[in-house]
Amino acid sequence: MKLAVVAQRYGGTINGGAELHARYIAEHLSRHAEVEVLTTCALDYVTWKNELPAVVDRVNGIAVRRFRVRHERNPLVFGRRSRHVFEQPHSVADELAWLDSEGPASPALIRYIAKHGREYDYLLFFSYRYYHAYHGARAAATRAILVPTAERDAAIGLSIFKPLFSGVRALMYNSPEERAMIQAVSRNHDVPSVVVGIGSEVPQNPQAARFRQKYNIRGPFAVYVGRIDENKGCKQLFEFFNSYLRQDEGRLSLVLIGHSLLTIPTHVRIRHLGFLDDTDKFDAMAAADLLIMPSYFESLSMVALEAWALGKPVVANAKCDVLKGQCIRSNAGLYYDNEAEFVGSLRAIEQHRWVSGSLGRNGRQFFRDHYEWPLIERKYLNMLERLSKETPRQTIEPVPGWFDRRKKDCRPAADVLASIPSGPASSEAPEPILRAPVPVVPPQPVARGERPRSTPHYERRRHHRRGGPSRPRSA
Amino acid sequence: MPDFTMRSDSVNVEQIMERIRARISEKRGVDYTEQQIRELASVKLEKFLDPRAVRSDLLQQFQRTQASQTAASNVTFGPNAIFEAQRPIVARIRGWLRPVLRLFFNPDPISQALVRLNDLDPRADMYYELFHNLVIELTRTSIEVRNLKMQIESLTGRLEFNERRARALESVVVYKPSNGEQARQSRGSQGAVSSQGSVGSQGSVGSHGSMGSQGSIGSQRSMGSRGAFVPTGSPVTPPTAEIPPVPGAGTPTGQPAEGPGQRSRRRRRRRGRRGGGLAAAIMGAPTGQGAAGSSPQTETTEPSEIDGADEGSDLESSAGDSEPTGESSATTTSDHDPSGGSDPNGEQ
Repeated sequence: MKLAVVAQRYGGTINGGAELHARYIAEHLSRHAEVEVLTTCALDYVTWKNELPAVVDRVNGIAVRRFRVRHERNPLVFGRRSRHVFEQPHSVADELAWLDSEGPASPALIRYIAKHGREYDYLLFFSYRYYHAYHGARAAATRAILVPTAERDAAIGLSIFKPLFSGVRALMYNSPEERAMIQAVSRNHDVPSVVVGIGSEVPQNPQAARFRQKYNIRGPFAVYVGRIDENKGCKQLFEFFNSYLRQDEGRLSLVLIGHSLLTIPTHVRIRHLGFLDDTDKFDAMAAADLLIMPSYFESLSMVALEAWALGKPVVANAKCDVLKGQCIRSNAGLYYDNEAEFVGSLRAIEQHRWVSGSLGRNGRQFFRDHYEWPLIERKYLNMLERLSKETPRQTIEPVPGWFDRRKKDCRPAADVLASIPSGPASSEAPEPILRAPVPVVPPQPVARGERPRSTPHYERRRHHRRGGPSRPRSA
Repeated sequence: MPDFTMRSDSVNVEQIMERIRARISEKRGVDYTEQQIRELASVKLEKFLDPRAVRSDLLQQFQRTQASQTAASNVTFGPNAIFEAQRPIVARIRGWLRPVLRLFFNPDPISQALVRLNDLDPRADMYYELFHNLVIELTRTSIEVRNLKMQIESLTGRLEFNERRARALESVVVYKPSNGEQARQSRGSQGAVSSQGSVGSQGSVGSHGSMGSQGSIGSQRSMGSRGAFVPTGSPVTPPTAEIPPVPGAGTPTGQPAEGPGQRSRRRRRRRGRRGGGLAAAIMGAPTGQGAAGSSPQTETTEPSEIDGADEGSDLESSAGDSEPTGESSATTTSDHDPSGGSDPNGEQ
């Protein structure tokens, strides 16, 4: 089996959520199939500037084929078009123009997919909202599997994405909330889908004492890991934590890990350590009493999953449906809607050790049940197996004609978003996989553009069950 | 106050959050969510605000004004506005001729100027938003003020109670007469004390009617302590002993009179020895805890004399500190043991 992972950026040093997600999936699926990554030459997600050569290179053993971006993002144009399509009635042409200005506009990548898409059994497109996913999935609709990584922002309300959600072969969701939101938007209940999420490479024995000694941190503390940005809720976090400090009863400090775009408040109990490598990051999480996730929009918080994997409770922003839902489903985290609840949650974990311990244990179990890598791999392989048995029924609806594209009959995306039901999907947990874990098979190097000679694990199993060679699937 | 009483691994975060919210609402009164505040701001504004000062229908009026203004100027200008037409055929012809038209003049500056006119509406929306937020914040502030008033009332009540308690404690502090007055009192009361045949050596007892009326050995402790003029470590004399008063001496036992500086030093030392536990006993520990550990006699103290008994034990213990002999020292060591654990009854 040959798979393509199509992502907007790709690299060993790129730590963006969806990009890291794509890299993890590519590396883990490479144990079961031949995987090639199709991406752009960009490294910066704001400008999409071509910084890498348009060649085929390898990242952690995975072949990565890069294509140039036609134009960089103009923030002014993008901002103006965003306001237009999010807040005013508009046309499909406006939305396409918005998508083009958002980038990374790489027609070369789309042409390659259209021309060579048949060489791949399936193409996994990451992040629905970018140029490569929209046009790439259209170019190879019958083989397109979408990993939307959708957040509850206004882009989900744009009309151009409804056919995308309804026309791909399958969707791999990160959370039940994401699935509910996309199904409410596009009515794509008949499209095969599964809530998968992503695993994490959590070390077995992180050293809490090493971190405390290295950074001279004493006493109990809460940790935040991620970009320190207003969009991530950090400004509100600072306000709330200052309120916690003012009340003079708690002993927790706040340790911030990550690049900062905000001014960090000056207080003896607020420490900013900057960007840390994975070793220090996991040591810090192991040393912390809890993790705070103040973000408003998340499709899946990998940091929260890592904290749970390490047995640490999480305090999350209740305005993020996904985080709140995960806290409720896992019974491993508290959530706050306002300042008083934030302070109360911190105190509950700080003052009641049994609460902290129980939440941590539940989190560890939740991670084991749903986010261990063998389970994630199994979910992907099950979906591929299911799709191979089905013939593609639908294709993506074509883009309206020239005149129809210019009819201003699209509602403002923000209005569409407001009409979508919100709240955590507390009654539904990610589908657990009860099968035996997938045996780990080392990746087999395959020459470029060549089909694997040996029958992959997945094909072997099907062949054995049917008692004969598997038929090649029709495109 | 609700607390986390669950002691099980099977925690339920929703229950925990409910308890946290219950605790918050108990702590600060009524807890309003953002949605509730918005509802209150739009519906029940007059309930929290002075309707004479702030118009509760301000938003509605502003909205009506805005609606009328926008209806009057409901023209949206886009880049193509100058080429638009009501009839489709005319619009289509204009579209065809548009490149030709652009040969004669440049319509782009006109379009851009017209597009700028659209920016007027968002500003008006900003004003609306500003007013809206102001009203919401005002409502929130008024609720906060109400809660703060409740807290102030509660604190005022506590303060008054503490003041009354402090006054009650101050009232039991013994008045300390001067040396001459003390000698006079001891001379004047000598006969009465001798006739009682109890603590004749404690010449000051006669000045306290209530004490003198107790007339028992068991009351020596309290009497001695209240009479702070009793010399430190004075041996307990038998009830029948007659001790002649020493004229001019501050101490009936014949010890040399101590000066005011010596007394103040002793008082300072005594205060320094008072620990937190003792203060707690003074400030309201029941007799069974604070004073009962001193001697069995104090258990018979009337409830109305609890404070006085405590104070008395404190003072007496300080007296016994300097010369721990006899009954006096035996009854007071528990009060001043720095380890806090010398009470054989373990009541501390």
